[in-house]
Amino acid sequence: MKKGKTASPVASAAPIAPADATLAAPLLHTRLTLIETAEPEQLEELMADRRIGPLLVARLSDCVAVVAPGNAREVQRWLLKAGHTPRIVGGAP
Amino acid sequence: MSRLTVYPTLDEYERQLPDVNERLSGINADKLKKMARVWVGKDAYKLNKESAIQTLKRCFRDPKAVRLLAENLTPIERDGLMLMKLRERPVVYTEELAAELLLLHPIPFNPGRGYYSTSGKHYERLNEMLERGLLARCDGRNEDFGDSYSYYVCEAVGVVADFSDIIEVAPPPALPLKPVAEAVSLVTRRPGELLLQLTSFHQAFDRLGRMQIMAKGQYAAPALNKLGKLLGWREAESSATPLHSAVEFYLSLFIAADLLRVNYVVREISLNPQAKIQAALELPLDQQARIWAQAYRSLRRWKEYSSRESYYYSETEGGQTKDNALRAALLLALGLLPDPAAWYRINDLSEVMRQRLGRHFSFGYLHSYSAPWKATPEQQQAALAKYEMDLMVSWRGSEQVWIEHALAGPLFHLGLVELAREPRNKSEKLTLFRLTEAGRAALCDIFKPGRQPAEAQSVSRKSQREQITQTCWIVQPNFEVVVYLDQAAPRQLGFIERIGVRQKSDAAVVTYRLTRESVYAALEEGLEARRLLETLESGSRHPLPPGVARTLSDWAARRERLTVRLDASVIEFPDAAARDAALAEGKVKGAAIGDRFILAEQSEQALKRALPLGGVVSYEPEPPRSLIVNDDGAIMISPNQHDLLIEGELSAYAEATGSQMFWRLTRESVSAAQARGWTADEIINRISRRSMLSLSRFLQYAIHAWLRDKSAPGPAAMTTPPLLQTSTAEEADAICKNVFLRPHLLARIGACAVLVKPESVKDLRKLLNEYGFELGKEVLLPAPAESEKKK
Repeated sequence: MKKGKTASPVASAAPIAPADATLAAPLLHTRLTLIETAEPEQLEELMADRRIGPLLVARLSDCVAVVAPGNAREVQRWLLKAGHTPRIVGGAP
Repeated sequence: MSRLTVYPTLDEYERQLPDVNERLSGINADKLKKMARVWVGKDAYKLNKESAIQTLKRCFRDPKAVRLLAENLTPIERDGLMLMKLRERPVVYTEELAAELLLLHPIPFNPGRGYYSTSGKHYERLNEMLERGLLARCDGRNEDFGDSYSYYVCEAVGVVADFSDIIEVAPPPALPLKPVAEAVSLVTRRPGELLLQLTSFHQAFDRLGRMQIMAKGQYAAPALNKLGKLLGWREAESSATPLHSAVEFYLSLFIAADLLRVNYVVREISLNPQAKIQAALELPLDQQARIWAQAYRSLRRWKEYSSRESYYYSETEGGQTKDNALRAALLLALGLLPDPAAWYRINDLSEVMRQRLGRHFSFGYLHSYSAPWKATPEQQQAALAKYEMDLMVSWRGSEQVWIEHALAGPLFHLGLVELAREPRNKSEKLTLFRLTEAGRAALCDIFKPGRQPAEAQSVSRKSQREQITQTCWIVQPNFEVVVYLDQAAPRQLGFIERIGVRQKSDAAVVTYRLTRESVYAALEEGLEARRLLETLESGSRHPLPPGVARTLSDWAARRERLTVRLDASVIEFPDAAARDAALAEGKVKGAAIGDRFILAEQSEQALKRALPLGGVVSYEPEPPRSLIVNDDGAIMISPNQHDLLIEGELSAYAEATGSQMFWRLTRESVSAAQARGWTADEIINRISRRSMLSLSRFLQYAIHAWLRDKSAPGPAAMTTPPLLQTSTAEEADAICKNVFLRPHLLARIGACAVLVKPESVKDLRKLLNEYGFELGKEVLLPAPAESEKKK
């Protein structure tokens, strides 16, 4: 993403996933990077951020979004740069 | 591919120690009988090879035979086995043991027939033990060390039988050294300084994570620089106690102590997961001193001093070198001081070591004694005096300087010795040394059996508890923490190194600053917020300033509000009812997310067993390729590749066309993405990662063009000017060079093609007709090549 841009009011491109009638059985999605916030507003704020928002490609709930594959480091870097101090859970040591 | 050079650790040598059967069968009968004689006496000479092997194998395993042998060992053998017992492992580095045995049992000088070669004699005592079958080379070979035809020395040797319970540890005779009565200008390394250095090195390496090495094991300069930057140490070369290349020294020391591990295959150094580094750093100093002294003895890739002479014989590889031999001899010599608490001259120590080692050990060229043929006793005397003088000059110029550097450098910095000046010596040079309390514990007390390790451990734990509750810092309202090194316990130093950024330090006081980043890093490393505050408070001489305590709590709470979960597994259910049922039945362990997802806590295998899964989609290292992208920008999501993220990804830069399965890249959709911060390359990369086939060049040009970036296609044109074509390039040349035709021409665009000014078409046709050129109206297409015709 281009650097140095401020947060935009652009709404999230990823709405909360609706029920999927095409799914016949549960599907397991592995090796995902999730962002989890304490409040929905905080996630909205992140999704509206020009640097972090485009990296969040699916929203599973009000407070949980999925990071685009291959962008886990990138999203951590931007979060720290934006002054957030996220708790990092899981991943290879 | 470059050749990898691997230097095994003692653990690895221990595993390589050859199998007894394998080793003995490779030895000739005479040698076997000699070895068997050690165990069974003169009867050994009556044995044949096979029975000698069987006898040896039986004896190695038989505790009674081992005990019996131990009673009949020579003093050299007894000391050799004792030195191995002190190391608490069955293998030892060859150079170390050879030099130690030489120091304890110098080889008598015998000029004999006017010539005395020292070649290979450095290993003589060790070879005696090999020949008698008490030691074995770890490479499985049977030759002696120091063979003048081979420069190869097997790095390690091991014992053949378990003597550890039988050999008693007793101090060898003290060295003939005279203490010095008075010492002035005492220079001591404070324990806190050493702990700070060790702790900060550990913390810095921990932050670095891992460090690259070169093909032959050398430390990579960029990684060293990065580590040096994290440490923030300044080289104090000009001080009286310089430790050159301190970062490399501590790196080598931690590797030798097995706290860091070198992986030669992936060419990197990392923390040894089996080593309890923090626990080692929290041991009382006298116990730590033993670890550091042993590690110093075996460390590689760092040397105290290189003389000009030794330069020509330098061992540039990372294996054991003569530096290791002299370190082993020096540490042993320090353990054999007549009065461990007294001051001694460095020169005196060097001289005693020279007398014992100097004739057979040198970093550089080793002098040989030779008298002229049929020399008179006077001539022999003169030759002998010259030989002795050459040896002494060589030692003082090389090995003695090395010893001075070792005492003032690593041994001082590791807190094993302290240094001083002689009262009447006008020079500023520190010429005296004395063992510190830690030095005595590490080098002298090891010969005194007495205090049991368990007892020592419980004492250390007690003192540790006492230390940890000590107050040793002041936390200031501006987030600065002033730490008094003399009062700080190792654990407290480790704690403050983790949570703060070191600002400045001297021998007594270190100042740290607590920053949001440093506190966050400590929390991320696993420190609990409550424990952070408690430990900071317990070590503080005054109550924590309220602002600091509140801010630290805020920083910790802020971290709790946002979580990044890496490598997470999510189960997607068709609807909320199915999800809730799975949770209620206890089939799945995890947390519900939204309406129909579960953040799973179980492994993939466990989930496959628990649920009838419709499939598994993995997103790393590569996400599924579920898109079919046409040249015109139309995108279809493959119905067979259902994917949780693909719609969200597409919505960032494409438009949905009716169904959620069909999308299209348009000028508007990519422009909207650009407005949100996307670049053309990012859009192309993102689609390419998800597309089943590679993205067409045309569509890539289109995306660049829509976003008007640097890679957009260059100007193109569809022209109207008429084209004049000729059959040959010469004809076109002739027309272009013609004076009266040239004003009608616009540009030559090929060998046989010229653009004509539209307004001149009639005039030019007329003129050319006039001059015999026959002009048709059809474009002349190039004739197909012969190969094309055949096709």
